[in-house]
Amino acid sequence: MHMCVQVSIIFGIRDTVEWECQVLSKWLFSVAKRITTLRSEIEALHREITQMGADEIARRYFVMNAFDGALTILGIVVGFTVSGEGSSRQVVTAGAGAGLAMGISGGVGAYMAEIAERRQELRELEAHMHHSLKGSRMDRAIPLTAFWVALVDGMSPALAAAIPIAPFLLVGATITFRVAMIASIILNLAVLFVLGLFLGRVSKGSMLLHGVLMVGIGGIIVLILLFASSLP
Amino acid sequence: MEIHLRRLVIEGTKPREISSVELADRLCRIHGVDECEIIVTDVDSRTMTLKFTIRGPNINYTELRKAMADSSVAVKGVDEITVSKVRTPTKT
Repeated sequence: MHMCVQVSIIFGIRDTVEWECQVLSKWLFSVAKRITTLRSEIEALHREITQMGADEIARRYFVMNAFDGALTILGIVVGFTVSGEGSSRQVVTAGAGAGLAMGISGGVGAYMAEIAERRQELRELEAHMHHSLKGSRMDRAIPLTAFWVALVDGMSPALAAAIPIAPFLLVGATITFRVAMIASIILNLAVLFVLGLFLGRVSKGSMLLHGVLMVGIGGIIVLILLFASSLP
Repeated sequence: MEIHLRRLVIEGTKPREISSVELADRLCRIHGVDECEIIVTDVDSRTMTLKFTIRGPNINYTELRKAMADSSVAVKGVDEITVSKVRTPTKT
């Protein structure tokens, strides 16, 4: 009797485990299916954006605005270095403020400009085709592509500004203000170098040459600022 | 007895930004369409004029027109139409 009860308990546990495994495998299958659907939707969105030529514009905005962000912070840090005054808090506040302002102005400006330009292009196309494109895929893609371009335009200067400011967050606890300034300038030049590499890849030219060129431009800016600050 | 739309030849214009391959893929997914053929008949700076040949056992014309409009295709005209009678089996 005791043996029969034990066997029935074991079979019961086995059935429960089998059922749980089935439920788990069904759940995993539905998750995999959702991921596949999401992936194909993201690919479709990317195709829409690419067909509208937004990739090219986004690349251009990325480089231009990241360059703006990096050089703005370089100017702020070099200015503080030359003045010999200031605290890490002031540098971080000034840098973060500048990065945020550039990000917001870039994003909002790019969105409004892209929407206006693309709507104008669509109207011209409608006049050429003698056919309304209202409600079509091209019409629906306008806010999406404008949003993508605005996102790149807003994020790129903010990101390029955030990286060189990071060492100042460690002042006091880990490093001194002077070390943070040197690290910030090095990081800034590194950001410019990476931008140059990206440009070189896009233009299918020498990545190293473009990287060195961008660092050279950054170095010239530093020298000009140092020279300007030495004037009476 | 039903009438099924089996073949259509449509002339239309699309913007150059829209891919012809993706357009053909989209039209072929419509209910009742087995085959979609696109021939480019004219090209200008901004648009392409295409000849669509759609074949299938029972083409859903409404869905086809919607898909074309959604893909920014301006239909100029339907040049050829083939329909056929399909006898529905009677229950005995």
